[in-house]
Amino acid sequence: MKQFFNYFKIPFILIAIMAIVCIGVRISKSGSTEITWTNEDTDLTGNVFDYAENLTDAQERELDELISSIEDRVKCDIAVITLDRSLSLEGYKSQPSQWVMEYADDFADEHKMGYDKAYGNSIVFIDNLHREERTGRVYSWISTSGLAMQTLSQSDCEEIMDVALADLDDYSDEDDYYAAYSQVIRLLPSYFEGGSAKALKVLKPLYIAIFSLAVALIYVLFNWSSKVGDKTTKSTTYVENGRPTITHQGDVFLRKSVSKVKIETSSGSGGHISSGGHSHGGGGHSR
Amino acid sequence: MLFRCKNCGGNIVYSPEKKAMCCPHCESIDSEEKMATPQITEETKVTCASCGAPIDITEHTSATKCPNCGNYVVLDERVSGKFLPHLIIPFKIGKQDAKELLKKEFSNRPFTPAGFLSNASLDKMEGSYVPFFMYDYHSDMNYQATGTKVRTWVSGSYRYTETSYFDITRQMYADFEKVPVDASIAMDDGLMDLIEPYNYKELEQHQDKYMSGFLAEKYNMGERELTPRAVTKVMKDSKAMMEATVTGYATVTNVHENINPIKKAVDYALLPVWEYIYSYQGKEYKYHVNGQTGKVLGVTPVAKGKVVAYGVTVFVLTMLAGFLIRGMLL
Repeated sequence: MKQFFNYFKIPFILIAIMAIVCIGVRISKSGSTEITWTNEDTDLTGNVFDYAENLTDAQERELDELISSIEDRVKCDIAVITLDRSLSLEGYKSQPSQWVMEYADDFADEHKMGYDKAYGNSIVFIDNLHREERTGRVYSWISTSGLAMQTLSQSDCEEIMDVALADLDDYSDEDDYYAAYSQVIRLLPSYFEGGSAKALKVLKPLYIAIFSLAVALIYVLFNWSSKVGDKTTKSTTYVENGRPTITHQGDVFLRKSVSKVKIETSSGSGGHISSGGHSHGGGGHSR
Repeated sequence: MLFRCKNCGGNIVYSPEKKAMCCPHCESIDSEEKMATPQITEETKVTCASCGAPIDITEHTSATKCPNCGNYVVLDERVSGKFLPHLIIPFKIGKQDAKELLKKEFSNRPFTPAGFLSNASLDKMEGSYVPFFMYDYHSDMNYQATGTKVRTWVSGSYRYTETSYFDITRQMYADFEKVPVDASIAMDDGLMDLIEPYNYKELEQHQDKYMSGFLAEKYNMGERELTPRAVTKVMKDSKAMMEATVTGYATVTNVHENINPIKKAVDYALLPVWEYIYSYQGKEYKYHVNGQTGKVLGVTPVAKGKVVAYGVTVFVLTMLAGFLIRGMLL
């Protein structure tokens, strides 16, 4: 046993330090509520707008409380909207994939959302469960403004929804929309505090277990070495003066050939202006 | 022969630490006198020159230890005449140092059984002189191949790739000195190749006194029988040296190699090796330490209970670390 504890002494100490740091981080995150709400112009009284009747009343209340606690951490006004209707008749001119974007942008503008001021820091997550006829897909969007627009890139928004909505297929009664929407909200602070949903995507419990198993197997295989020893001679070890004598060395050019390939390019996308004339960012997801 | 102390009559042995003949009983230095051993009457038996007890030997044994009195005996007729070694590297690493080297190499292996490397089992370690033939070769080498060099650049909306072809030719030679090939059947060829290299600056003309205190064998096979192994080593090294001169090419194809090794001389030498044998669950594990350089070879036995305990601990610790990191990010 003494040999065992001596061998794992450093890993045990490291885990203990990590546990202390983890507890400290959790306490500091839960206690950072000193920023106050300064937007008096918004007419919104809640954070969850479940027009699709997708959540129970209890779930709505819990999600609302979760959003309230996260809003103070990310200093953004947050709203979650669910719809279950086609947006094709709303008068939007864009593609179906961008209808949810325009709806979310307009929602933020109409209700003068913002944590610090009207049209200020805001995040609107919309999930429209209606499968649009033109594409046969369900669209979601995270619309950002102010600090959220500066912090969350389009790929960050897409990444959050890829992680949080991955288990929804909209055909099963077992879809847990509350869990998915909560995950969207919970992932937000990691970006504002230097983290990444990608890291959390990798750190799913199942993945941690598989990774740990792999580490343990590699550890066992590495230490179960059947290697007798390393070769410590070189090709010149027994050669007089330590090197061969080269009497002729020729590298004669024969011919050459040239081929060419066209370079394919792709273009990216940035922020946009809503119909209300305000600048928004964000990213989309479809399933 | 047996080396007896003129002062106390004890068996004098060669001490690697003191680089001299030492009497372990009265600590006299270089006070030895040679005593002749009786001739080998049977191929597997010899009589101890000190106590007269019979000593079991193999057909290749040239130095051994009396199981009765513990004295070291060198068999005259197996280190003379056609069996007289030309060269020897005396032991430079003593038994205590060899034990420490083994402990240093293997003590941090987590799966070894509890009794592995205990002082009681390490005391059974013995030093042996292993017979080697050392070959001198002149090797002529010719090499021809086609090589390509590739250059890429971008112009406008196109990426261009230019491939240039070269005719590669090399002519070279190398003089190999004392390529060692072990002449012991008992010693694994691969192990003896791995225990190289020895520092040839410490090669000496053979002296019998260096063998006192150690086990030894005469060569088990003749140098002609072992020549193919020497040629294989020379060919392999020659090929590697040729290929090392061909650099800077993206690809090398159509390779034609011609290596012509010519034997120049052969020496018969004894080289020092410490051997430790550890038995675990009915299996013998052998460990070797180069008696000159201290290089250690061997595969450690595995205690399955320890594998499970340590593997599960690593799994749990990694899981804990993963969940703690996740907890910090959420």
